[in-house]
Amino acid sequence: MTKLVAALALAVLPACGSDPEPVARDLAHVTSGKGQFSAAFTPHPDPPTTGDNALDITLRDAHGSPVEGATLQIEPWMPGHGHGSPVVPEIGELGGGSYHATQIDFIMPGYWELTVAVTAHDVRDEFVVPCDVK
Amino acid sequence: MQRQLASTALGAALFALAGAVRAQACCTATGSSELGVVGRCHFAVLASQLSYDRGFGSVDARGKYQSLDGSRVDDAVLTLAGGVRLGTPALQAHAAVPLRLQHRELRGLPAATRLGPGDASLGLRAMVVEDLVAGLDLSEPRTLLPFIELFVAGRFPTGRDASDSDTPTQADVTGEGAWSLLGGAQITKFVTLHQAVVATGSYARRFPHDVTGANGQTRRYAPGDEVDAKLAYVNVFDLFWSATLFSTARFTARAANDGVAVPDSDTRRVRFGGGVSHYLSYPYWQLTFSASFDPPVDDFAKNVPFASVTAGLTVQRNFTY
Repeated sequence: MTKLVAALALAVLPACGSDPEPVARDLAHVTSGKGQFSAAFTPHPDPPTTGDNALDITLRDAHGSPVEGATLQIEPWMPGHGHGSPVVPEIGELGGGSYHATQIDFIMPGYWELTVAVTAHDVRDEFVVPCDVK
Repeated sequence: MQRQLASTALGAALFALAGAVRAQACCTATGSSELGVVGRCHFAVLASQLSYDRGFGSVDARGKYQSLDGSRVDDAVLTLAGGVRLGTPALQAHAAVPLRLQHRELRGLPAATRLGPGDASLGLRAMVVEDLVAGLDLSEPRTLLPFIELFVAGRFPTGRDASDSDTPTQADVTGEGAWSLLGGAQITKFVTLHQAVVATGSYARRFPHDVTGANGQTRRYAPGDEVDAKLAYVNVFDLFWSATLFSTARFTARAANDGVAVPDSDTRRVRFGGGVSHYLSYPYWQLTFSASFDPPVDDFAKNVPFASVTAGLTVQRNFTY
């Protein structure tokens, strides 16, 4: 009987008390998928919330130099739900490798990803920025 | 002689009433708690349910509950449903078509209210074992048998998918965009003539479909399969009134994008609720009020974007043989 109770307790524990795998949250030092760029991302507000959000991006190349004149595209995506946002974010260049994105709309709380595609000097690479939307 | 006659008449009336109560109890426990499902003593049913759902919080992937601040999420759903027996009393088909009115207010975005059809469903249901509805009597093994019903159903993407949304708040998204097929069983046991326990379990396979983001990129999205469970207690007070307490649980497996599983995307949702049902004219017109809610506490649910409270009113017309 004791073994049965112990087995049941073990079966229940993972569903009730386990923490998910930690996801890298250091948005100040993010490297793109192919290692062509690095960037610092600062969400506004921080943490992101449902509704309208903005994002500051400081972009550098593989040697650490600021990247100017890059073309950026951002797509918010909720991977667990298979949907994004109907609004395409707008991105403006501030100079010195800094960019400011607006109209990043999260329509519900939960785990989202921002896919940030960067094209600069014929080099293309992507960042995936995790967002825990509150 | 007169006294004997009166006694016989009273006995017959009580016997008829007991039969009616048994039939009502049977129908309440085997049909009316689920929209469009025909009760055991009926031939067909038409039902209209108006429900209101108000979001008040959310639960993240770690099970942490948080109230919705600065957002408003309201859904009003009118569902038309019906069911009919197919040749034999043991087999029935039922269908439901929802019409959704959704209001969304999210910080910094224009508020929007949109109306549209939700995802329709169609099902088949078969009664394979029948309860005597006589209560439990340990000396009579036949009374231990419950009602056992098996069912299959399909849900169709008749609602508007998120890929087709054109409002920033996605107030116009009224469907999942996926086909799904479910199968399950319901066990109903009358422990007394007036009290029943109902346990339902089902497994739903949700099929992959293509979704396109705002930038035009298309992905193959596979929503996780679902397991649903429901436990209910039904008390039939008399010919006209009954009440139900219930709890539902839904577990969803991890989703996948382009064949790659999304870590930590599985969900768990447990709700509690109750309802009261009243026959306006037995056994034809029936009115049911029900309410349910997500408990606003930590470590109870997982990945629930909008925890909510829901209230619904159902009017149904039963048809007898």
